Amino acid sequence: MNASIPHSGYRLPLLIMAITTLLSSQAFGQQRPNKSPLYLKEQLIRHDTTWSGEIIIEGVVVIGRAATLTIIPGTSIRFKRIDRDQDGTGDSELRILGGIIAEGTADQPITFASAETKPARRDWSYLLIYTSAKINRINFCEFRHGFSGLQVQFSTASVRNSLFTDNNEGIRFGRTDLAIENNRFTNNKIGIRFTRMEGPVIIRNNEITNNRTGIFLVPSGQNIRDFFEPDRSGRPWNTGRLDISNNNIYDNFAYNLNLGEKQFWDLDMAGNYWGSDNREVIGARIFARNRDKSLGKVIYKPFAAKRISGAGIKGNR
Amino acid sequence: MAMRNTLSSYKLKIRLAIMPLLLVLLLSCWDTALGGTVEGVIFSDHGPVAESQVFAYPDYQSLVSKEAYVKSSPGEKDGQYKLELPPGNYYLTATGELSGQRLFSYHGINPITVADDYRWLPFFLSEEQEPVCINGEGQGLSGLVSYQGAALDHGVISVYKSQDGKFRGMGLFTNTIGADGRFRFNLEPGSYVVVARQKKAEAGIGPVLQGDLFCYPATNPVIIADEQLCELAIECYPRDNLEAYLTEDAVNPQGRRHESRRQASLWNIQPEAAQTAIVGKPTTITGRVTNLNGQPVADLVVTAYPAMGIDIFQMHILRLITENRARTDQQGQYRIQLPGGGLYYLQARQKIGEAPDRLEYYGLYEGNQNHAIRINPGENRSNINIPVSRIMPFSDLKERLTN
Repeated sequence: MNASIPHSGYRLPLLIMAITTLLSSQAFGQQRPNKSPLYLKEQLIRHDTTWSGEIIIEGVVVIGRAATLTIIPGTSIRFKRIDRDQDGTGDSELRILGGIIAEGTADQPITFASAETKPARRDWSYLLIYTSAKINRINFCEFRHGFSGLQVQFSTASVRNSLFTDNNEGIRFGRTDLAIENNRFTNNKIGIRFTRMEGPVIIRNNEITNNRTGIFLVPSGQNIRDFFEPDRSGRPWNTGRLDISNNNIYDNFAYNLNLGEKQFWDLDMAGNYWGSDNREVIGARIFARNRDKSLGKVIYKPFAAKRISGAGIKGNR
Repeated sequence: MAMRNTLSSYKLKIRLAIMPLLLVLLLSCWDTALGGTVEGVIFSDHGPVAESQVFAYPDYQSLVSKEAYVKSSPGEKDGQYKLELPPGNYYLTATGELSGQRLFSYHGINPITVADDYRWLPFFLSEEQEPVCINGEGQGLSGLVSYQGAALDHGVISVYKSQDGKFRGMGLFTNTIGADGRFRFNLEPGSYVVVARQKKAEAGIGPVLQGDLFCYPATNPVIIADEQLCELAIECYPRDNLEAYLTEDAVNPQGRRHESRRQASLWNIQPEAAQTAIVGKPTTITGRVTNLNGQPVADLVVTAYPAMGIDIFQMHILRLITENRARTDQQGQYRIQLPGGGLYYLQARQKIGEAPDRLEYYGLYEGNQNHAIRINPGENRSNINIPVSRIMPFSDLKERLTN
């Protein structure tokens, strides 16, 4: 019996089997066996794809407009540091034009972090959801060592039960339909940074502590739809558009809340806990019209007198 | 050995004889690449302005300090000018005087690239008016935008940092101008450039096209001091639309229409692109825009953003303003003629001049992860197809916010 050399008539089926196996691998759209790390260099993925196990990204990986990336619980996505434009921030990035469903569990979170042996902030750029046509879901994920852990721009998404730590910024967003709920932002330079108040955006039940700045609002030149005249409004502009309530925002080193240059609009932020029940102590950690008369007012009263117990990641991670 | 020396000496003599010829050839080639010619006419609303001049500055700072300029020579008729310029980018302004009033114009397509080509650029002058700055009534800029002596009824006005240099897009701030032509910006102390525009077709701001109004005051850049509010009077002119610009009693330049030495008529001023002689084969991109079902999407704007040295895709590139764009036809097809080779980022969308909007058709080129193509001068790249979808669907947030 000759078991080692197949008859030449078997070569074509074997070739087809080999190609089928190759095409069924992770980069081409199917679920990958949970074994050795998958290395992805710069590419654009056009078909629905499921990631599991360990993924290492070097460069920019784009999920095309027609595709959805699904990431299963416990998956680790790590980014190699490359800085081709020498701007001090790693260029590796995961960019979603299609859709992303990244839903871990309390016991098996999905992680996005640096692949370096000595990881640091800005080792990679961000997970960017950009002009997506889908409803994206981030749940029980961890973001570390990014320029921004997550950016949501001109897209619809929910971000829940996730940890943002050791990033330059935890989350950045602009024009979005976005729910940020039950997350923890800690040890970032900025916890949440945003450039538009037009919403609809909900930021509720988050723990935002031990960052340099907890929340930073810096409007862009096109902040308001239809170029609304800021100084004629007479009421907080975010009313009915942007709800920032029921969060614990305290012990951020510079400011719990900072309105950046050009932010003229009054911001309603009642119903949060600011680390104290003393108005002077609260006011000292807010940079707004109380410090710079060209900025908008922050309306933080009424505020929670003690730490809000339901805020932060569910499951006490 | 002696024979080799003789041979070497002979070769040397031949080389020495050829060298001057090569030098002449090289210099003659050099001469043809030395630059371009810019010609045109300088108008006020009363017609061509005699003894007016155009100044070409190598950068915006030189324009501000009025240094390092090349001055035009007069053309054959009143108001005509001619500039010979080495290849490069230039900021062109025109000045003149009428009845003792100083007039000024800043060309709306500045900075202008001069290559080995010919350009016909008209200028439309308006009155220079100094800003009036007062203390104690706020800090920033306010003023009135007008056209043909009346308040400009709606438009947009943008403020840029002086260092910006291009003054396109939305700048630091962009606001709408009300029916009364008034505007106001609260600004930190500093140096700012103010530009107003009124577009006839598309909403928002975008490149100023033929017939659109462009408004750049002579007093740019404006210096805002601490606790100072400066009031500006800004006059507009229509780009490349002389008929709309001239008043009824204006000197009619139509008589010069058939000048034998001029291809371009004074009366039929055409859009800038049509006046530029493009040397060699055109550089073009063609392709098709489809939705995710593969069906063509008509009437979208496809834009090719020049990389300008940024070789990695960045979102802010898509905020820049460029005229490298075209609309898709009923089959979703488009064709863009580019000013030259290079790296271009490609985007297709419904709107221009504002940030991507909810349920708008939007897409980036997906031939690679950089959303860009590199094209050589004179090359035609076809099948550059772009998938689009309606972005930012509704979640339940709006209902949650109202409850």
